[in-house]
Amino acid sequence: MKRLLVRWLLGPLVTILASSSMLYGLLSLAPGDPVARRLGPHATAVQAAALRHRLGLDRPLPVRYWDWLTGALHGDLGTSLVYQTSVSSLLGARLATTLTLVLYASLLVIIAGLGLGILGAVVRPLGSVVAAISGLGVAIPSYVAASLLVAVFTLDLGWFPALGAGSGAGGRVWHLTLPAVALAIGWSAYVTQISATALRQEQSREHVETAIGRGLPAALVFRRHVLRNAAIPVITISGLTVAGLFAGSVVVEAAFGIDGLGSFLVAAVSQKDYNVVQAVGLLLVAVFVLVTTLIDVLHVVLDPRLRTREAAA
Amino acid sequence: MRPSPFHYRAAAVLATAAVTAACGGHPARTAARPVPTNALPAAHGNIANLTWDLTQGEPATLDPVQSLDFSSAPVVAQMCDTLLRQNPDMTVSPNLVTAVQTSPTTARLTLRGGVKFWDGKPVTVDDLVYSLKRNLNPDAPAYFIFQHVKAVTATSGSEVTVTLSQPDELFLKELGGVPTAVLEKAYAERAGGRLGTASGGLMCSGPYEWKSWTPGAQIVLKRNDAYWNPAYRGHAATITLKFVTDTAAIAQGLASGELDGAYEIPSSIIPTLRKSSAGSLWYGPSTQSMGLWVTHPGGTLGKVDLRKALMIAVDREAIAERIYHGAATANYTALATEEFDPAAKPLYQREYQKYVKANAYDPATAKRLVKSSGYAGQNLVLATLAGDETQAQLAQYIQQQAAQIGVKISIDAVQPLQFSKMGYDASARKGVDLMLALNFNGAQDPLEFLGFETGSQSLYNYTEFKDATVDADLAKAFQTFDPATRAGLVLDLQRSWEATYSATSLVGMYETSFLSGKLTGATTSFAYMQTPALALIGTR
Repeated sequence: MKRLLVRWLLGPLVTILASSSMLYGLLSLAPGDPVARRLGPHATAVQAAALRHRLGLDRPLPVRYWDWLTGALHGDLGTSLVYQTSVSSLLGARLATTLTLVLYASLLVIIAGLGLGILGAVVRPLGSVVAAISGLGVAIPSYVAASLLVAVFTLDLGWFPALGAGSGAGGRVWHLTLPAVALAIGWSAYVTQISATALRQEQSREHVETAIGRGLPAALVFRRHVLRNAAIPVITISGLTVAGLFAGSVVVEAAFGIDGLGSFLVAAVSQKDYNVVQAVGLLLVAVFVLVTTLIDVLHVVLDPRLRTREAAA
Repeated sequence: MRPSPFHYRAAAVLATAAVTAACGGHPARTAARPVPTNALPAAHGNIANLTWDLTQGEPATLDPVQSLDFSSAPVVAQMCDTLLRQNPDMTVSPNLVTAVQTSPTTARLTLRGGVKFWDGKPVTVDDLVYSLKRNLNPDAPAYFIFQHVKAVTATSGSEVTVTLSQPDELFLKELGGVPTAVLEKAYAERAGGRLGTASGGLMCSGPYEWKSWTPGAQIVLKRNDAYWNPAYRGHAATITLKFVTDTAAIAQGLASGELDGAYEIPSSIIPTLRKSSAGSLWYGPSTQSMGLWVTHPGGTLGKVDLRKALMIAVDREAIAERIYHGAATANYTALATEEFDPAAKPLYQREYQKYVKANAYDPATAKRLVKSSGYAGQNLVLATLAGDETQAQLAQYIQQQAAQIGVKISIDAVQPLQFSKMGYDASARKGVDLMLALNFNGAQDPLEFLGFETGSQSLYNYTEFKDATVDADLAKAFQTFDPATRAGLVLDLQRSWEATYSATSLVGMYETSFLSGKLTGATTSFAYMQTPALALIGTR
């Protein structure tokens, strides 16, 4: 158990540290002068050099990274090169928007994806219909879904807005419905396919058939023997889905004109806004690490064999 | 070297949709030509709120001295009074000051009396001197306008005298630019480095007040009911500025009525918006042009014959109609025709006709020129701005046309920051032979553009063109206040420079805007960039 705890605590830290230094290094290798935008349309090479010096961008890379790292450890994420304000003040609103969007989409993925998967496995005749629907869903990229949804629900029916993240709880939900659906379609279909397959596999296992043969109630068998054993691949894929939703939000945010974390990261990378890229990048890495660690923990909770193996080792 | 405030190298249009195939060969001419207008009929009714999109995205800052691009300048222009005002027809009128050239090297600015900042404090000559002097720092993006300014001094309670180190006919014309806008000195000093940022705000005297800037979401302005100029008092009680940049999202927002309008409509969504019932597309005169530039002296493109061959191998009329969907017109010189000095227009136009003939689409001559240039199959690299659909299509068209005369071109889509860097850093242009670049000017005066290109020391003289007569003509032209005499000098130096085919403006672009069918009053010319144009929008 001690070894597990070390893995769960130390692993993420090492991952985050390694990815932050890589991010910093890679960004500096990308072409482009970070001060080009601030200098305006008539920049001269002399002006550019002067501004780089004033902003400390001419110092060696390791020095700059070290400065950033010590600052970040003290809770100071630095100043945005582009906006000239503190990074943390820029992140707050965007983080809230993206989190709401991802949570909303996750909810849809769980309800639609898992629901359809279970339906397909339990009601056998519907299996092929579910497979067809999920096959279609997997094939629709989120930006195509976004255009289709707007064409139907905004321009034709006028039910939902086409742009922005809205304000107030009700406005938020109303504005984020189409983006969340666009984001959820592909992942829902994916979760449906994985869960239907996992459930069917468990259903055909010997101990399940024995239980049914011995006349145990079907619902009990499904819950205790099928669902629980199928939960491991389903939880793995669900966890990856949440992480994937964060990544996918970049596209959907652009399509719906939502200024969230994703679109902010893209803009920051193209403007070489180091501190913003570091902060958003780290946040995304942290989400991935958190989710995968959580999956790891859940596996151990769900599967007693893992616990005994670790204890024996 | 004579710089211009709005001669811009990089239009960062972020577009995610896939680039559609460029037009093949020479496309048929179909679309009806739009008729450009300067302004829509005046508005009569007020509205509660105007939701406007900044199609190039959120501004980085709204500090006037830093506000020179499509995102920042038009927003500052709603809030801060520029010294002079550019009217919808691009003429310049007195605004916060009346400016008089008292000698070739001095200008007297007389401050309008009774103008107050939003906080009720009067605008004084101290504020005026302070605001102008912020531009005298060589780091200021608009320094090029002020580079010959020796002193700015308050000579009375209502007068400021500007002394120049040498005569400069352009100086007064440029005082309609946003970097000249007047701020409250005390407020600006208190705000320090935060001035013009989301947390620092502004204190100006314009028709709209700063209400809020929520980074990533929107900027909200509220009407200044005490604004001194009734002609520009706002119709909308508030203006909400959005930052939607995705082309499909812009089209959807406008078509659904969630956005009331936008300037700088990307060409790729013109066909979609033409069909919209929510409002109309408008086209206005603009100094914007899309040019093809040779990026270094020598090399394969050191041969003028090869440069010319490439420039006459493209059908500019076809580009205007097929790639710009009619929102542009063919242009046959490096200087865009909208930059002609209105005070001497016939002189410029007569000369221009010769270039129309000489640089017309002519693949047969182009082929001959390729042969005489000694071109032997070397690959040429054409740089474009990554993410700009229109530029991507244009580059593919140029590539195709070049292939037809036997010249190999490969396209390099460059990220915005690197693209900007190519503007001022020769090392960033290494490995690149040609680039597409958007240019625009603040004043209608050819010197604004030519000053950047033709002098041996000019910032964008990439081919290192050097001609003592041109240098002398250029220097003399800046000191010549008579438009016709100046035109003679300008046309002479232009002749020498155009003959080198170092650059050409393929098309002059219209300012393309979209406005909800319920609204009117909008300025539709490029003058919108530097004026409180949104204040004029209201109901019929």
